[in-house]
Amino acid sequence: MDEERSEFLKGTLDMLILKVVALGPIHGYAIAQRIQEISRDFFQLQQGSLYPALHRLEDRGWLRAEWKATETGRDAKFYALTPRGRNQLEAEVLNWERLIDAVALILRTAE
Amino acid sequence: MRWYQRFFRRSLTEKHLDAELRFHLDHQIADYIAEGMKPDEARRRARLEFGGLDQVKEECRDVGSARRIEMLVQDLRFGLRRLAKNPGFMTVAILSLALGIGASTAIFALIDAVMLRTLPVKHPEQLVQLVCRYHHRPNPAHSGNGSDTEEPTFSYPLFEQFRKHEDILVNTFAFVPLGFTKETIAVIVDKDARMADGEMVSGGYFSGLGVQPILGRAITDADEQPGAPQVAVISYGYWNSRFAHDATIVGKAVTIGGQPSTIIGVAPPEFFGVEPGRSIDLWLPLSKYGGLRPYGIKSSGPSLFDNGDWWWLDIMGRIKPGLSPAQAQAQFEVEFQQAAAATLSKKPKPEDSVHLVLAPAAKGLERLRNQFSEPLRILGLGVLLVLLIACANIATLLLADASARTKEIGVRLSLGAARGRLISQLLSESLLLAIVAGALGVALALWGARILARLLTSDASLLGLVQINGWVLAFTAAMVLLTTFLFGLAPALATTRVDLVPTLKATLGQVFGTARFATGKALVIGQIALSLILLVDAGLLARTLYNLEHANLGFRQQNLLVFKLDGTQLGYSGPQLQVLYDRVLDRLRALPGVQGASSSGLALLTGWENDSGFAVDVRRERDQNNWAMWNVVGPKFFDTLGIPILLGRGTEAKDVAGAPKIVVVNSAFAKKFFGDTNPIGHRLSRNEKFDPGDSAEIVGVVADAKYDWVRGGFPPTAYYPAGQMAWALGSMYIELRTVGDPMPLLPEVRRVIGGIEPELPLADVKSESQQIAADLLEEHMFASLAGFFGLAALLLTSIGLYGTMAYRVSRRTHEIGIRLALGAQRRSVLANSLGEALVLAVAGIAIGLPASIAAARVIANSFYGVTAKDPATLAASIGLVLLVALLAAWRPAHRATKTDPMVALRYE
Repeated sequence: MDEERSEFLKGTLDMLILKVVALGPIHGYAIAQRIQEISRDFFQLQQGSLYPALHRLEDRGWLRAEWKATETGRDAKFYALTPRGRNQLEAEVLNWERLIDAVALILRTAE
Repeated sequence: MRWYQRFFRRSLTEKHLDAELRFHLDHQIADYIAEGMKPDEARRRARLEFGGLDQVKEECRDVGSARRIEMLVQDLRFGLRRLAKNPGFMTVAILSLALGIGASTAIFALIDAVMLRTLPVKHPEQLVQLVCRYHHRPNPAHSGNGSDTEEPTFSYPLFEQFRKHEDILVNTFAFVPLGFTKETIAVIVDKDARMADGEMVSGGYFSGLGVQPILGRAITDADEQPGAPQVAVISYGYWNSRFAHDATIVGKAVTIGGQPSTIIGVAPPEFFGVEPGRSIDLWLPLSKYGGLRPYGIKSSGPSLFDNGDWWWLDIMGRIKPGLSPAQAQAQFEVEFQQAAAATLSKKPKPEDSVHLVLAPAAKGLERLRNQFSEPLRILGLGVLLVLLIACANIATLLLADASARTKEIGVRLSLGAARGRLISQLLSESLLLAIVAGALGVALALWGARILARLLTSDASLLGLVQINGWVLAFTAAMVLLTTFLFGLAPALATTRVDLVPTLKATLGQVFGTARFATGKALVIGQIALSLILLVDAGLLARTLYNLEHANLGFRQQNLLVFKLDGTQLGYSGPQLQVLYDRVLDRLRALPGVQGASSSGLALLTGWENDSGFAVDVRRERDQNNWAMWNVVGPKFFDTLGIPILLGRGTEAKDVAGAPKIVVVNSAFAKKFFGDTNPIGHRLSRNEKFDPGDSAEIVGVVADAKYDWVRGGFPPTAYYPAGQMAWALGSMYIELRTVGDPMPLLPEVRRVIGGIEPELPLADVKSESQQIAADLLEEHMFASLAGFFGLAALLLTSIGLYGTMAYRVSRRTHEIGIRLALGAQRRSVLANSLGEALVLAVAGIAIGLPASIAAARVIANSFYGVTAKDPATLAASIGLVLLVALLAAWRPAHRATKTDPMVALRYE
């Protein structure tokens, strides 16, 4: 992962995780796979770094976790979005969109 | 790490974290294999993409509150290991802190018992006590703005009105003690007469408080009715002490105050009445038809109850549900004013307005709180000072100890440890110390609070209230946390403020010695100042006690036995009483070992007094104050007490009802009413205006003697012969002058009195020395506790000073070595070190001296014969502090002179 993308990722990883978890209960491995798949491998996630983020979001009460059996029968830790997590996601998405708009505006008018 | 430690440390969270990450890796590996990779290759790739497993785990652990607790546990474990390596330091620190925490917990346990705890009754928060607030308009003759006084008593007719109306207060009940002291009434059980403390209560008392007897029944309204038999409910304690838990007690026939009575019930063990610190033995119905009267009043018949001008009843009740206290008070005020106007025989003076207050009574009557709030406040301040000194002391020791850890801290900081983490680790060591000290302190407190309770009052009932409950433990826990920050924070901050590079290079103590030594010096100076405050107060209180114990009382206190007889309890009255007491005195005088015997209405130095306005047959200036004390005394009173007769004669056996009325006055009285003229032959009456028909002739002047208490001055006093004061005659105190210690004579005295009247109990039996000791109980307690605190403070301070100086000398080994090598005298090295300690002591004294005087002023009300600026006490305290400072500094200074220059120079 190069330097630029790493910096870019740091601020947005939380939001991406929340967005992916919002689709339904999901375990850590699947979250990593999803983020990579959906972003068409734009985010070359150092997969280990996902877990501290997950634990942090759980500690803040935005995610809740549950141990459940997967389709293969093995127990895995599934994460789900809490109502507070949903509010947080909405707020972050809104902020993100404002940021994109603002940056886009500057890029357009400064040309 | 051993296997079992590993086992216990592996928390569930850790297992879950492991499983979660393992799942991820296994899944990834399985996916790669499914894509066609070789297992080894798949495993390698998955691990690579995952990143450092241990680092991820560490980052996950750092998230969350569980982690913070885990870190604390780790810190505590580390702290314990460190403390265990340094047992001397640990012992001193824990003991001094345990002393501080223990003492403050003990005081708090008393404050809890006396001031904070609610009554053990149903819904105590609903209880209110009726209180009259009298507003006295400013008197133009005096300066000032007038004053408010509060009296919690009401007349019986008012109470009858109040309890009829249940629209504002419900469960209204009244109560009144049977006498002024604790031994108020004679209870005869199976011919054995002993005094007990009784209270008369209205029929609603037990139901209103919601107290259910554990045996038998409570007193009800029916027990107040005419013709109702005399009954009594006894307390659990009295049931235990007097009746040995007799299960068949209900229905037992006893004689109470001369009235044949039946015991109908036993109160539950926790119920002591509504006055904390006073344990009532028995409750009797407040019946105007029965033969008993409150406060030992002699009048029989219903006059006391029907009189609207006599206000003597305490009243409590509960505010009717739905009414706010303010509403209830406003509405009750109207009812009160109407009822008061209807029952008083004359209207109150318009300038003195009276208002009714519904005072919250969840904690019961205030007498105990009033009695002990001042002593407890003073003790609390003293304890706080000791605690501060203990904290400063531990801080000093921690600072000195920190010098030994310079390298450890430096290495850890340079290896990347966060400063906050190190501070929290140092603080958790402090917390550990404080927790151990707190636990020890609770044990000390339980013991200390009992000693305090015994020192505060000779009465055992306060002792019974003291307990270590949840509140007290919560207080201790708060003290533990508070002291942790008090003594731990500054050293922790100082220790972690490290400049890394020189620390790693330098050897012990060279780096931040000066800054830390400055903090240490400041702490020691503070300790010396605080110790001086405590020592000065202790000295002043000790001098107060000495002055009081050696005060001139005006009579001989040695070899004097005093006790009370109350013939009215057996139905004696008027002249019969006189005969009874005379017979007792005659028999007692004949006892071998008895030099003299007399009697008095009030015993001396018991806190009780009679006072009155007096008028004499000579013209006096009009606005001169005409108050004086009086007492009723038997024949030979002055000879027996050892009060010199200055002019004329004392009281004699011939001063009886038919004989000319006489009175003896003391010199203060003579001076006040007659100036320098001879008062003998003048007449005296106890009225506003001189009344010749009701006057007595002054036949003697005696020397001044103290009357109500040792602290009091010599009040102007008039002594009336008992034989001419039949109306005032009730119980009498008997004074026996004995050849030696009076107490061995007591069984003989009891036998003699039993021979005259078998059922007449002796009450308040004391030698005069015991009486004086009882009067000086509080002074004694203050002096001994202040002395104890002062010495504890001094000991702690000397430890702190020793630690600081020892550290200072160890740091200067190099310098001293050079100086010695250059030819300095060992004596000058010694003087130099001692001088340094002396400078600290003098600085502490300079700060402490004005603070001591200011602190002594705060408690100046407790002093007797000394002032806050007493030079002798100040000088002695300063001398003691200097001496202890030099002693504490001596060993380190001496060690400095023993420095071998060669060793010191090679030292680094």
